[in-house]
Amino acid sequence: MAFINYSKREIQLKIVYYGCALSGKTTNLINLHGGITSTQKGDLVSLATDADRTLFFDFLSLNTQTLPGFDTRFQLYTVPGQPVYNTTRQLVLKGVDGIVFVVDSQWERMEENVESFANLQENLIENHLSLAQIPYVLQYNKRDMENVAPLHYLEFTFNNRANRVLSFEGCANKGDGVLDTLNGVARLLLAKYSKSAAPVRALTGGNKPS
Amino acid sequence: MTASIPGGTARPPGSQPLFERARKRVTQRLSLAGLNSGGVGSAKFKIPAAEAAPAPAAAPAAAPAAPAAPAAPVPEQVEAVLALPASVVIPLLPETVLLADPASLLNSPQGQMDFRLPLGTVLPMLPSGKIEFSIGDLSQCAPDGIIHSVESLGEWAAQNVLLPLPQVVMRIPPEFMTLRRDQKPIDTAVAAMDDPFSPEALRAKAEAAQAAQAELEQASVEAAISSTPSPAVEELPAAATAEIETPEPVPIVEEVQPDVQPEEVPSPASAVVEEAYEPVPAYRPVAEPSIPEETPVIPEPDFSFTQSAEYQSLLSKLQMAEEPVAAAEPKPEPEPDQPVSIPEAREVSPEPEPPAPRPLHTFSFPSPPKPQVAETLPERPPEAPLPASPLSAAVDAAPAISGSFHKALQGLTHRESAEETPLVHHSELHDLMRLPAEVPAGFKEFTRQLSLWPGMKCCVICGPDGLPIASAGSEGKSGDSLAALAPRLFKNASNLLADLGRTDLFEMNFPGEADSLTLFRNRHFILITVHVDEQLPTIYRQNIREALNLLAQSGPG
Repeated sequence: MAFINYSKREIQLKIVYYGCALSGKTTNLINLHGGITSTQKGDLVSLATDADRTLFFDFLSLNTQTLPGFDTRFQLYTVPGQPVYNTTRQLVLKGVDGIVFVVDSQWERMEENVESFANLQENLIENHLSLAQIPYVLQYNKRDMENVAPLHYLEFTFNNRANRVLSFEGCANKGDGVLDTLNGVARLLLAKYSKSAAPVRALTGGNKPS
Repeated sequence: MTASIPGGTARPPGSQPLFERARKRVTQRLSLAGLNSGGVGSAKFKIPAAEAAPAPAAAPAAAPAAPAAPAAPVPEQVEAVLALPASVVIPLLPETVLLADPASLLNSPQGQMDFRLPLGTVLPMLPSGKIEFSIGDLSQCAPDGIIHSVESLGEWAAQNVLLPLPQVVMRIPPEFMTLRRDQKPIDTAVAAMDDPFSPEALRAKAEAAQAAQAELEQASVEAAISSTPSPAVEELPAAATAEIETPEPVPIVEEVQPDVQPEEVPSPASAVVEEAYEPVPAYRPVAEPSIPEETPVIPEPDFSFTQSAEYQSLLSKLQMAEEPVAAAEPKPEPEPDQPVSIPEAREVSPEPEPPAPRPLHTFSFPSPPKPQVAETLPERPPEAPLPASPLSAAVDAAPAISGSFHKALQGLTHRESAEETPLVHHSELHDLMRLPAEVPAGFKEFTRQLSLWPGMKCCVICGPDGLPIASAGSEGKSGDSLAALAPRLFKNASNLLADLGRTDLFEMNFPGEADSLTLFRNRHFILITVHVDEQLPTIYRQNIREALNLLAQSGPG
């Protein structure tokens, strides 16, 4: 759900990069943090364990207004991808507005990708959400590797649900497709909350159910 | 290619083999006109290998669903089979189920044949990311002379074999992997929307932000300049005024000598008028003129004019003007336009004594008060030395502690470009945790140091929602395991506290036989420690609670 800060005239949208371990979520976020030239971006915060990390940073988009008079602050998160950190992923998914599911395109990682996608749906259910409610996009990462699955197979595997979603090819380590992916999910979010602008305005509290 | 034979996933008793179940389901759902349903061997057409990959004669139906859409339609090519070379499958099978050793089989004519996998079974497996067949099912798809019959396989028949996904997918034409027909397309409004974060837009935003920032700074500078007080003393702040009011070296005129010499004064009237318009002259001590002995006698000055009414009126005016004498007006100024008539010299009458010349005002400016600076600063009372932590000896003895900061920071730098969130340097925290004072501490170092305390196994520090921030363990990956469990531990502990109605507790201890667990918390952090003893020593608990409070003060919270 979007958080509306009336004092700062901001709408905060939380985007979570989800995927199996080593799929490139952190690389996406680091690349974005380095590439976004906004002067009002936050520090890249690392919540680190020895094996995996949760990353977070936010930035303010001054010109992307979902509501008249409000700026939009995007909060970008990654989750630790290893299966053992499932509870952590559930916590990070709390209050999520949009999801980027990062798929490792390599053949040998396909089963883990599918398991992670299923895990995403389970964890959304834990948060009383579902993929039908949450805007999400797919990023087929590591397309520069040799042993990658063809695009039609990836689409057949991950983008064959009732609603087709935006999907992007990417090489996060080179920065390819990183910004496109963020643009995709941002477009979904802006379209969603622009449509629901009227009920949002009617609310007076700090939190707005999406 | 390596074989991957997972451990026995036994089929439920009485259940049909996978291949039979798939065939039955397909034949129940679909029937193609003119085609007789049959087994694998009676396939009407064969899916060619990926190299050839022509489109099948029949138009492919909608692809099966993704993992989350199990009700997807099954393609109509139910009789189709996927030809997978035996050379791909044979290395994956255990030798026990083969009729000959793998090498000879690969070199035999059977090794050049294909396994004919039913496509109706393979396609639904694709979205799972793995193609898995039991050996019993494979034996039905295999060419003769490779695998034992199902009856003779025994328990091996239920053993699953993972087929190589690339080999399978590359042999399936893309037309068989089309998306479902009832899929709702992407919203046109979203597709047509401009990218909010195009590189050009980001650059423009950054430039606009920088320009706005520059304008803001310029405006603030101008505002600061315009609001700077004028040099007038009364507008300055007190401190500045005190400095500016420091008196100039204005001459202190104790007594004004008539700085006129007879030959220099053309006429007394003009001299008075000119003097009135002149600024305050600088003090020039005038030496008494030495009178030579041969100098002619100078007649005594005639003060008789002081008795005149004009003189008296002028004198009264001067006295009135002198009353409010200001510091900057050491000399009275007569009216400039008022002509002063000098009476003519008359004979000196003996009776009236000339009035004694009225002493002029003297102006003394108090010197500014000098700051009271003691010549020597009083000596600071000696501080009591910090009480030595009982952990000092143990921490000092641990060789892994020295330089752990630098090692950890280097590790972070090498591992990722992102930096761990640093903490503000807090000397008390450093002392408490025995951290090097020259390096700002992070959560990672805090947990690392804590895990090195004697008797401590691992620990994790979490945010107020239970999200792990950092963990460390003295034994292998114990810190990671605890970090993984921390959110659930926190959740369960929170529920327990809520059920007990004791949400005010800040410390909970769960003693165990092998390991014990203690949970600390304050408003900002939760620290979970696993230790050997049932209870942590009191000094440990005190230090941990104090450190958590310090972290709450200095950390990002």
